[in-house]
Amino acid sequence: MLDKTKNTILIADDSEMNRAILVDMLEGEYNILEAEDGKEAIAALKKYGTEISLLLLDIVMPDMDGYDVLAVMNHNQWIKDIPVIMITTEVGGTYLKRAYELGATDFINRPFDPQVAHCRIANTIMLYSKQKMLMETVAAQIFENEKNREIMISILSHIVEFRNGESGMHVLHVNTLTEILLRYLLTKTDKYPITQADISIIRMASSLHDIGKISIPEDILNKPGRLTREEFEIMKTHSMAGAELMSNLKNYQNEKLLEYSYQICRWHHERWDGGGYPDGLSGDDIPIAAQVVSMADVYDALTSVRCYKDAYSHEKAISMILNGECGVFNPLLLECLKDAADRIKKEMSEDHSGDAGSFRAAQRVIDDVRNFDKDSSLHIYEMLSDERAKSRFLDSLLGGISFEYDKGTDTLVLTESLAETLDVPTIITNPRKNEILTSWSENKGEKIIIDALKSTTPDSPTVSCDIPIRLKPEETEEMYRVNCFTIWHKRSDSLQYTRVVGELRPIKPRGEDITYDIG
Amino acid sequence: MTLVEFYDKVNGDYEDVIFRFQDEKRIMRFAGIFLRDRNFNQLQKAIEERDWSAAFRAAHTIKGMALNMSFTRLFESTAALTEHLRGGAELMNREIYEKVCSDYNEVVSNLEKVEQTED
Repeated sequence: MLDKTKNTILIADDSEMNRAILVDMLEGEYNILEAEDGKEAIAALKKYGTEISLLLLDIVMPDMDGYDVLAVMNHNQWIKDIPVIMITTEVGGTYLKRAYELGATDFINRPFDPQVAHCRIANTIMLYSKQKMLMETVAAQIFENEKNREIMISILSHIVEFRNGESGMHVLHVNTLTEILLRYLLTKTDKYPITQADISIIRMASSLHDIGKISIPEDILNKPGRLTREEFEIMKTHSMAGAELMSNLKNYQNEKLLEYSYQICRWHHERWDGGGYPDGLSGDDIPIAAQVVSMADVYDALTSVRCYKDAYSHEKAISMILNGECGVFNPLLLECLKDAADRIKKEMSEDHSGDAGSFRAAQRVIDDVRNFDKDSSLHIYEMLSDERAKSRFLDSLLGGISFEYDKGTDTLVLTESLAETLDVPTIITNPRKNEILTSWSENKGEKIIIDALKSTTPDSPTVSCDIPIRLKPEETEEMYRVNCFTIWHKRSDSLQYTRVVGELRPIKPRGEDITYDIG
Repeated sequence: MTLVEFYDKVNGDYEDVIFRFQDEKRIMRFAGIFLRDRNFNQLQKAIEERDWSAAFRAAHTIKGMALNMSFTRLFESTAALTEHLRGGAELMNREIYEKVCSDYNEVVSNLEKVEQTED
């Protein structure tokens, strides 16, 4: 087991003496792994991955030489995350050039001054870890900012929907549909000047399409029967009212988000044939963002229950739009809708938390950084999305992760189903002071869990314990099994667990206990 | 035999090696690895079997060790042999190889004398 407080260096050299000199110089400060040839080096890279902070690589080795190792590292993209310093007696320019072309970071020639070599090794490790840390920080911040922006916008759009007596799902559906349609549109034509970055802005702006409805009197907005001609005229003013809201925000007039929001608010009820409102624009005089949101709006209206109608099926809604039964649309967009039909059906049935969009935003920036400097790219996005996929998978397992505790903020987050079962909020700050939680077991459970967590270590991060819980004062105590996994990070020079994820499930009486454990 | 006398005898560079490794104990530890090392036997075997790329690798490794240890004379003769065999080329000039053998044996026999003195 590697000492996790130290960086790890892999030394690949067939000469015992060469390895011994390097070990003598580096041991103590680093964990050292040794490989006697290229094959062993690859095996170690496979086993330890990015736990290895640096590879010191000889060129001339039997079977698989240093160049072969570099080639495999390129093939597996390891070279992006693990710096390689060549240590060699070769001095010819072509040797150097070839190794640099294959992604080696630096060269140290034999015989070397151990102190100088030591500094070069330490600097390389430091630069890589700093870069990695910066990438992680940037990605985390982008993710956080994007998420907060999405939350703010959905709060705004939900104000309208709740006043409207709608579920709050409409905006999320319009978001998703807008994004899908735009992606298909970009593959079909380059006639609209929309970039990948624009798509996420338009997606966000689509949330605001009905914001003008806050100016519509509630009795008209929520009238159960058919609107009179006059009432409908008032209703129609919501598009212009929304646009005015946007144009009154003087400070942000040059922002794309505001520009797209304006277009979408004002023109999402226009029709391709000029028969819409408020301006009667036709064809591509209607900005493409508004055209797309208009179609998304219609689709979701068709597939949702309204006070005057039942929900149509996905297939029925698509065919009604394609047949021109619900407005007239850009033929190109109709093609997109047709092509995207399966994808739409799939995505509309999935969970649409705002996180997906935030992840895409974080990914885009990471991709930009990667394309700017291919060698500096790291697998941050993959890491984030892996984590996300992992937790989704665990969530989907029966009795999967049901709570997560963050020590820094002293916050407990429960899954919705668990919070519902226990009749507590999903987010609980200062859980140890929470009256409901403490009433369950008169603090007995808390002590058991804390003692159990104290027994975990970075190498043995999982622990299980059983706690008695009385959910309601009149009920009897039931035993629950708590399985915890602690996540460790370095804090002020020592390793501490900073997060705990885990599951809570009742221990059923013998015989009834069906195990859902997988693996 | 002292280490200084040894380096003088085999035409090595004591000043360089003591500068890099700081103390004689460390030098003797690496010298022990040199004495245990099998690459010279592998070189002899490869030359006998006319396996020129194996011979190149063995000569190359001995050259590296000689550099580490500042055995200047041995380094020079192994460097010549390495270049001669580079790219899997056949050994055409046996003198080059024989020079390596005599330099190597000189280092080994004298190094053993240093070890005996130390014991």
